[in-house]
Amino acid sequence: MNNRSIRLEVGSDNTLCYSVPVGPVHPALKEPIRFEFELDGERIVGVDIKPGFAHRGIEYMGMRRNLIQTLYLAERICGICSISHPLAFTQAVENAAGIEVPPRAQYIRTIIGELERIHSHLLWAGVGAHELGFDTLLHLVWRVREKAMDLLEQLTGNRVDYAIPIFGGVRRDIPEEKAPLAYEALDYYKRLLQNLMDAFLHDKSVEMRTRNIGVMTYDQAVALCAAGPTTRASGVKKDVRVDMPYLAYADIDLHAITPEDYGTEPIGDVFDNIIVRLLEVGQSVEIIEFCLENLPDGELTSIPKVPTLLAALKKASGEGIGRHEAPRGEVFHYVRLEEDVEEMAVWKVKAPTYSNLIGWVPKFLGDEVADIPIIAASIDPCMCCMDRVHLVDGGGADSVKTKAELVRLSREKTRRICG
Amino acid sequence: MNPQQILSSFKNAFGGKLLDDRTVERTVGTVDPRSVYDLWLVVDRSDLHDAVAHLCAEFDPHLSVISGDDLGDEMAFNYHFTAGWGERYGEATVTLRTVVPKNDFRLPTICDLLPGAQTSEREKQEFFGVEIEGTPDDRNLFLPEGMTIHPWRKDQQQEIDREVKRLVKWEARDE
Amino acid sequence: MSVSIAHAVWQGLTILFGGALLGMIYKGFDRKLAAQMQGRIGPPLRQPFYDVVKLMVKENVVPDHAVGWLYNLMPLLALGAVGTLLFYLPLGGFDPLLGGYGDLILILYLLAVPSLAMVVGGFAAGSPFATVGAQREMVMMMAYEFPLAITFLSIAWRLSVVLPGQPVFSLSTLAAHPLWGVVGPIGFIGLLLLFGALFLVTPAELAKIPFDIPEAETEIAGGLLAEYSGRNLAMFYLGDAIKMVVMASLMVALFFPYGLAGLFGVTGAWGSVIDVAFYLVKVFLVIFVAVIVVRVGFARLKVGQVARLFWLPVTGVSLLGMLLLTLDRFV
Repeated sequence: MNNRSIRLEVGSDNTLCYSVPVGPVHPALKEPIRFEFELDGERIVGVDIKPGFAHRGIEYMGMRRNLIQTLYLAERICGICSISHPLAFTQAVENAAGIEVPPRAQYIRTIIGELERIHSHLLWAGVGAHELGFDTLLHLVWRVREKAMDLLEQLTGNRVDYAIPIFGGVRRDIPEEKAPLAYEALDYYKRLLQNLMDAFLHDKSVEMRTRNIGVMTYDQAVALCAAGPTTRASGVKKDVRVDMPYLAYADIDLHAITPEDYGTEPIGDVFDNIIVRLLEVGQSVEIIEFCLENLPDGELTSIPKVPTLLAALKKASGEGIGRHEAPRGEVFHYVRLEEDVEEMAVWKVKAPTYSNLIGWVPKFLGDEVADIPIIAASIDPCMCCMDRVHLVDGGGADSVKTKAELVRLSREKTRRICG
Repeated sequence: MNPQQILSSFKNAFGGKLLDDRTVERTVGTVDPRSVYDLWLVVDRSDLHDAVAHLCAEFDPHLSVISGDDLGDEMAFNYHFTAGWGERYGEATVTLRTVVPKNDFRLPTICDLLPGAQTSEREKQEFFGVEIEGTPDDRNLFLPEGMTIHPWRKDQQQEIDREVKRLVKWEARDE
Repeated sequence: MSVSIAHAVWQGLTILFGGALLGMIYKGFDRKLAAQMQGRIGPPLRQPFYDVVKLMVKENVVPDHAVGWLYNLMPLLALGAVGTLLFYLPLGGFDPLLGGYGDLILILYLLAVPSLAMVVGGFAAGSPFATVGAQREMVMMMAYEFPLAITFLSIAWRLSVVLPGQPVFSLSTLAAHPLWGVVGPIGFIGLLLLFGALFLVTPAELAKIPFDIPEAETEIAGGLLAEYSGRNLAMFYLGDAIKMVVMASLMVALFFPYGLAGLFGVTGAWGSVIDVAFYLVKVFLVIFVAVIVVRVGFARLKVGQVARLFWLPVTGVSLLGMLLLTLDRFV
């Protein structure tokens, strides 16, 4: 990856443009992706986006494994939005196979999903501050985020990859004894939310760096089919929890959060993205409170024994769609099951960043080089969700490696390095 | 948005060209159960562009993704739309399915109607090998340039295995 | 004769060594205090020393595309210029070592040299990130040099009115006659404005947040210094530490040169010790407010915003200060 080349070209109107590549390895990018910018001085006049550096072939692997193995695989598509994919996947399979989910399981899934939204938005806020050079906010916000991570660990046993959903319900319960822990964390966030918003939204230097930067208008957001807080920042009221409710969201009166809830007209710039995500943290706290107070009694899963579940899934046939509003937008899973076949016939995963990828183009055009990190961060990109190992043989063409081969290769390399 | 509205609008506009339709109703909510709907429509490839144009003109849809289903000699492509966002319980998924024979492996583009379809179309081109006519960008998106195999095709297993066997040569060079 | 030369050399070396030591101690405080303000523990106070030792030991990589001799010369030049600056400043209440051979005008020029050395080094490195960083540093220099010059000249001029015929640009004279007591109320306000302008120029001169755009880590991967490593980077690092002491000493010399010993009537060796200690405290306070607190409290500004900030408000403030000082003379 030669990231030291600058090409100089004369543009159509005799302006000198030069192209600067950014990525796949760059301090501004938390995950590998390659941009190629055409610059006129400090202004960006063209951008080409090249993803694919974190493609692991997950759909390829998933279609060769049974459904429970694929469920574990689906969880590991991403670390930050780690329950979003299982939630959508289990929904898709349950719709295809006709499996019901008991109410208590639905509420527990919602609680964990909303906790994940809190931690993900706070992570984004810290990363955004870091891109702006405001390390103080990064450290303080991430410290605040630790409360959500601690709560997740206490409820599920892990900080990421909670392994909560299973087809037909959930695997672990939230017992009565743990409710006080949850309420304590929620109080903590309720107290701090106003401070968080002041720190970001009333800071003059943050405003100077984010207002009117990286603008995506309402029409562009609709035409490009953007999803999540990115599109809500432009004023488009798309939110899967509201439009097509599922799980416990069907019982709560929600509304899609746009900058109008803060009192400002939506412009679709980075500042609006901050507004929407911080307000959503507050909304998540309310949703979790509702779910905890109204947690229905009942069983955790409709088919408790795993062999029975696998048999039922093997006999099932049909198509199913599962959609979930992940912290970054709409996660979409499509599954087609065939009778008497253990693997799925078709599995299509769409991560939210997949929809938002092309939204980067109007956001970058017209802004400066100095804005590249914060605009790149503003759609909250999650490359590992979107890509699904990219191996290039020195000769040029590539190969598809099986798992056994990869393990053997990595062991050999380790021996070479250590020995 | 009532899915009946969408269905009848399609029936009126396309009549017999709507090859198949199916409405799936699901109940959600434990306190006050209500229904959400999935609509599955099948059209022929030649009507695909018109069907999407009709959807865009009447219902302002959101394209989630395009998925492909390898059926042997032909391949089915599902265009997963959703219509009716913006209103509580207003959305329904609308999937347009079209079947394409592998010996005439092409599809019309819908990027002129919905620019956001570009990512999905490029992905289908590289993973299945289908040629989407008129798409603004033909290059591989997720897979590296120059990759010859299409990983999601079920009928290229021999080529895929052959590529894996090339592993031995790579290791030999590495020692 | 040889004794006085040897004495001068000995003094010079002490000042250089002391300046570097002080710079690193203050840098250690900077990192520790900034960390505490961010809710972290932070590195130990000795960390800059460890850093310099580590850098000296590491390999010095010269990129293929770089102009070799320039690339290696610039850190030396930066360190040398900053070290020389120490000789012209009244440190700890003592007269500057080379007081008779240079004054405020020379300091103004010498202050520009380390930044210029970094710019040339950035261009010489041959990397696109370094080039962008060097360009930004140039724009920033053009922005903050004007208020800096206005501040210096206004103060020196005002002093020349009070002490006609004396070498008012000399730092020893400036340090001996702080202006606060000399000017009337209008001049007092003018002096405050000039103080504010210099206060803002200090983080820009030192390239600290919110003005660290030439070395923006998240944007251009270290910018100017992206390609430097090993001994060269150690020299830039030391130069940066000493420059912090220099800027703070300059602020102290121009605005708060008061000694403490005179207040308590202590003279002789103990008086010097008290004065030096007080000077160190003053320098620390200046660094704390102008560098540490500002660094922790703001996001990084873009180069266009920095240039606009200095050319319009800050220059305006310093011009207003100059105007008020002039008016004060006639009132």
